Amino acid sequence: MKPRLQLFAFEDTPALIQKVSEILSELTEVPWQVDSQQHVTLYECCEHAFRLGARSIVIQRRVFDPDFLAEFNAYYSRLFAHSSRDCARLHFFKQKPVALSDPLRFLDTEALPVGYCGFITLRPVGRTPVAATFLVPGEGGGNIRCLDEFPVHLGGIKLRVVGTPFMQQDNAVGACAQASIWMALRTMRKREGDRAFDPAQISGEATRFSTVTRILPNREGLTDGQMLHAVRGTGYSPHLIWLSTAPSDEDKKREELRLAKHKISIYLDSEIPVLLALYSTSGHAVVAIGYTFTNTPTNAVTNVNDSRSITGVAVPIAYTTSWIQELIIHNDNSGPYLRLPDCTNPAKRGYALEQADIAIPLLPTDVFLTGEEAMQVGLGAWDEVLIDLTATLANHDKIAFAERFALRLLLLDRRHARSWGRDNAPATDLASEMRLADLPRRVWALEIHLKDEVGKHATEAARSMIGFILIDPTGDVHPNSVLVTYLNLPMVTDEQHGAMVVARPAKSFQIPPLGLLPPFRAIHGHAAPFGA
Amino acid sequence: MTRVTLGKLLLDTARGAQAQRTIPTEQMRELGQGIMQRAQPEIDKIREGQRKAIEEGRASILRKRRGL
Repeated sequence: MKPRLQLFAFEDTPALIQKVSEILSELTEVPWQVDSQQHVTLYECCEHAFRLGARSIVIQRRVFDPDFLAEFNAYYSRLFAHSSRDCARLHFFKQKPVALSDPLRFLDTEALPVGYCGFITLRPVGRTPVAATFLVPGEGGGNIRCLDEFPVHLGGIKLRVVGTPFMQQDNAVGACAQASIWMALRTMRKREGDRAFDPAQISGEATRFSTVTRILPNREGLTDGQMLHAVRGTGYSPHLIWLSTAPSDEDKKREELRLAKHKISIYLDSEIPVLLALYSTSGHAVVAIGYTFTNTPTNAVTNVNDSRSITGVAVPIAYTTSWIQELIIHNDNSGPYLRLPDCTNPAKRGYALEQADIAIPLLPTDVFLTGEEAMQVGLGAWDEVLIDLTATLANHDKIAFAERFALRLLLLDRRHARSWGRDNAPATDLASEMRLADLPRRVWALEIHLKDEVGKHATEAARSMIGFILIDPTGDVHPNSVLVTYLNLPMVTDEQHGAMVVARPAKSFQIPPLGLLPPFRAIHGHAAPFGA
Repeated sequence: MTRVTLGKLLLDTARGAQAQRTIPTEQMRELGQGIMQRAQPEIDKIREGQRKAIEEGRASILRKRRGL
């Protein structure tokens, strides 16, 4: 019997792939040679680990992986042919071991927690071996907005991975739709009451009320309707966002694309993963988890602007979405942390945002005001602010004034609003109210940024915010949906003080000048894990 | 009498002599209604769009299978 823990060191990807091929062959009892054509996802996971700087693996054998055990119970255990229930885990470390013979010594004395890159679970299914996989995203690959911290126990050592869970479909219990839902659900697990659904349970929820073909094996995937059933059955609101009407007109297509990115980014900024249903030659599902952020909004497709009528003058409204270049997705048939370009490149195969028909964010069920609706409440309030701030200005100056701002909407946990107040407005009524005010568990926060400062978030944790409007997400349509409004007026007018208006109890506060403020949740870099 | 707006309230507070003041219920209600009068038509448009999408057959998209 092979040892439960074994060490392996490698200098390049081919050596790593060769070892992974051996382990997969051992697991499945069939010889496999992993390559970039036949095992795209596994190959990309290994490449990703190598790019992270991993140079050694602790191989963990005879792992009872709970998600694969569920797949095994639902399907593989019923096969007449022998099928193993054992998985193997490959734990990646940046450190190279002094000696390969003693994995415990390596874990105790050489492997540093900071050098842990996460793990790949290999299931004993030769063609689709990548089961529950937790790899850190690394730097330079975009801003991952949806992630969490996951504890890992290995040989008596406790390690941690901060990343977004990834899984490849097993193509029997589930297809890409189930894999994408699993990834999104597992990311939200701690944040939303510790609900964990394995692929078999997701398939069960998806097909409970609507089936068009057999459930097992489920190689045909799910319809969008079944995906909505699964999302609802696992405890989230089945909120569907239409993204495309498949227009033939190029201008209309560009308009739909920029709106799609704008709608999706509201949820990504809220650290909510978004399921994207794509269609090219056939249907596919991926999960959006982040984006790349540039310093200048140069691409016309991503230049999201709106215009509002302020006392009869059409003034422009910009959103921070304009600085988002590409979405980052987990694609179960290609790999983790991949870029999703806006448009397909005719010279290359691949997916693009323009292929997305619909988006399904994992919206908590107690949020009755969707992001799209909350944006309209926020814009209504912002109009009311602009009217008075520009009352004495000529029409062209009203436009110039409104052009100074960029808006960002996100669903914010109350505790994050409170800690933001404590950290960024000490000894002011702003801090006191943010920490003590009666607020629902979550609020929609419309952040108001200085447009000229937004690009700085591409390279650093910048300060660009000069105010915000907090909106009640349980308010649906109610005159008191706006809970708190704060504006650091000295940054944008000749006023000496800023001001805050609180709805419950109805009060207003004069706030001393505070300078530029950081956003509630950083734009630069990866999001902080739930517990942080 | 001029309607109370959020902007006016913010400016009055910033310029006022008091660091903190209570806003009369009537003013607050008026303020909320002003905002909702602006937001409601747009929210209705979003909801109407969702309804139309389903009525005009875009719901057939929901029968597409995602299983690549």
